[in-house]
Amino acid sequence: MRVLLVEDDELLGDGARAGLLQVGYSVDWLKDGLAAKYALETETFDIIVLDLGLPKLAGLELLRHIRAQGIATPVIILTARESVEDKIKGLDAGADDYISKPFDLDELYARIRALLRRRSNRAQPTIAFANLELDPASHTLKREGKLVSLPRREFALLHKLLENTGHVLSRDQLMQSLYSWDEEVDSNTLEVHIHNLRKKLDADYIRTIRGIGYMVEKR
Amino acid sequence: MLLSIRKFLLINLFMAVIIISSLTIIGSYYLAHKDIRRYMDSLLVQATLICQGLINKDISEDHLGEIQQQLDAIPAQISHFTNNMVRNPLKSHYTNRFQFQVWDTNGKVLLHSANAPKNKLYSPQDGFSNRFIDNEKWRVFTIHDNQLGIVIVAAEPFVIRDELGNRIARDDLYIMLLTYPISGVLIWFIIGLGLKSIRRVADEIAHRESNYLEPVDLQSVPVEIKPLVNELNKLFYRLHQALEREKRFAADAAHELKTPLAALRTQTQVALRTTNEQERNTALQHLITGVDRCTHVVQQLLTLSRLLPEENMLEDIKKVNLPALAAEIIAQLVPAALEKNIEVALINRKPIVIIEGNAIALGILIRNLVDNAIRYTPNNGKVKIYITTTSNHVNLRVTDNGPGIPPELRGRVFERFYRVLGNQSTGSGLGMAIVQQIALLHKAKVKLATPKNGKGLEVKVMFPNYLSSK
Repeated sequence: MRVLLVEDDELLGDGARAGLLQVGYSVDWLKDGLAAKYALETETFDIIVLDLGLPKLAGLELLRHIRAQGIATPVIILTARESVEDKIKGLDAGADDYISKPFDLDELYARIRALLRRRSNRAQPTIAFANLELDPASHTLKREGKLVSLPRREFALLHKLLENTGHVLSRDQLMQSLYSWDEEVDSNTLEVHIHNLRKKLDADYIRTIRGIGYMVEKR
Repeated sequence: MLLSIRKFLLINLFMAVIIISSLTIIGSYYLAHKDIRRYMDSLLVQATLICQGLINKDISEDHLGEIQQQLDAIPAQISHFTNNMVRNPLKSHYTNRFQFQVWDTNGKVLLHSANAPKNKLYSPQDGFSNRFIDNEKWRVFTIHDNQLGIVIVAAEPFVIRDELGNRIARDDLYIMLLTYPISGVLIWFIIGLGLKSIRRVADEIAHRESNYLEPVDLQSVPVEIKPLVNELNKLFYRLHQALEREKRFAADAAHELKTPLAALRTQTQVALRTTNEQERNTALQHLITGVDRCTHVVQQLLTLSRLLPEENMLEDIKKVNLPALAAEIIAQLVPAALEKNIEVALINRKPIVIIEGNAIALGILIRNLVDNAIRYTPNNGKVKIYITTTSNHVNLRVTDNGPGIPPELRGRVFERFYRVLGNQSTGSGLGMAIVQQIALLHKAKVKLATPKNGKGLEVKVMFPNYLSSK
């Protein structure tokens, strides 16, 4: 899952980024509204964690702008303002959720998971597919009821694919959801991850669409 | 010192009533005497003339003897009337004191009232006179009838007049004494009514919630205490303003601490979760930075709150040698500058520049300016502090070669908690607000500009209270 973190505070941004990385999200951290606006015009993210008091372009303006552009990425507002009016303003500007500072990382994770679940129209907190059951909250994968140990990236990759069954995901999309911009990645990394997944799942759920990307077919 | 309006009014109004009524009694005593005298004099005249008429120019002994007989019967008749027929018996004391005599020219009494004295009552002249007869003072009216050769005289002792006057005055006094308690109660009641409106205002204010500072409605306040209530309303307004400011400040402060606190929490959770030694160390380092930042914010908040008394008063004004103070403060900040390899220099031509001010506040001002400059200047930068004098000003300039502040944002840096770029995590956003406040207290002006070399920021503080320099 690719998270865009927009937070101008060095320490908080750093902490939130580290925390999100720990649970396997790929995080892109921007420190002002304008940079975030440009990033959103060219890139796709699975979720946006947005501070309101941003330099150059305020959070709410950014939010209105991207919603006007038709970008429907779920947005969690992260702010110190917690009056009812502020919350209403934020939600009406197009936010999907609201979390006030100081917050608990676990709560942030849970809210992100909830939004992702909602976006893929799932009612269950876990994703079931064939003989697989993936639990984004506990970061576990069960195959026929037995735990399968997966490294962070492979879990994220499988999560992304299972969230989008029936859709072809391009190599770029998948790479972006696994790695931030600042991470240096080998060109065949994705193939290696796919290969490992196929081996561990002991089944070829993941179809290669040559020249385009990968997909998991709906069942 | 007048402590109770009610007491003051009660005592003084009652005193006034007593004085006025006493004067009235005294006045009416004299006036009554005068009226009684006139009235009784007129009775004397009438009695004399009636007597003259009764004699009817016939002074034969038969005629007069007949009249005298009737006259002698009068006291008995009066006592008959007074005892049987009249409800309020006439006082014989009065009735028997009016006397008359008729004399012939040979000194013989022709007629006299029943109890008339034996001595001559008349005076040699016609008209009124006062005479002493039998050790008693009499009022006498005399007519000499030269045609008939008789003297007619009516007389009455003065005692009667005096007594009548005294009685009237005494009755007046009784009435007055009777009215005193009534007027006392009335005065007390009226004062109470008058003071009621004051008490109502007092009650309204007394029963207010401590945070209810709306003005008292002047429509319902008596004219006399309007100025007082007006001043109270002004005070309420100022208190309201101050309270609002404090509230806003507290809210801002709490709000501003949330982000650093969120950072602390997040970094702590990251440190707790990670299995990577290096990541944990980094997070813990960040945690310390975060704690330092919170401390800084709190310190700055305290400084600002101490500098914010509404009366804008600066205590402890002394002569301050600005270069010495600046050197002392800058020395404390040099280690922080050296960490970033920033060159700090204090440049002043005159070693002694004296201004009037509060040394502690001025120290805070210099510290904030230099600290800001060091914070916002990148590594290997330069921070210079100049102290110069003009004919009537002392200028303190702090320049750096950091990123500077765009002219359109320069006004905003004085707002509390405003941070220009937002990504400078170590600032509290209060430094310039503090500088501004201290400058205000010293009637100094703060200006932001770009240094002459075109890069960085110059903060100039112009102090008007320049005393001397060497």
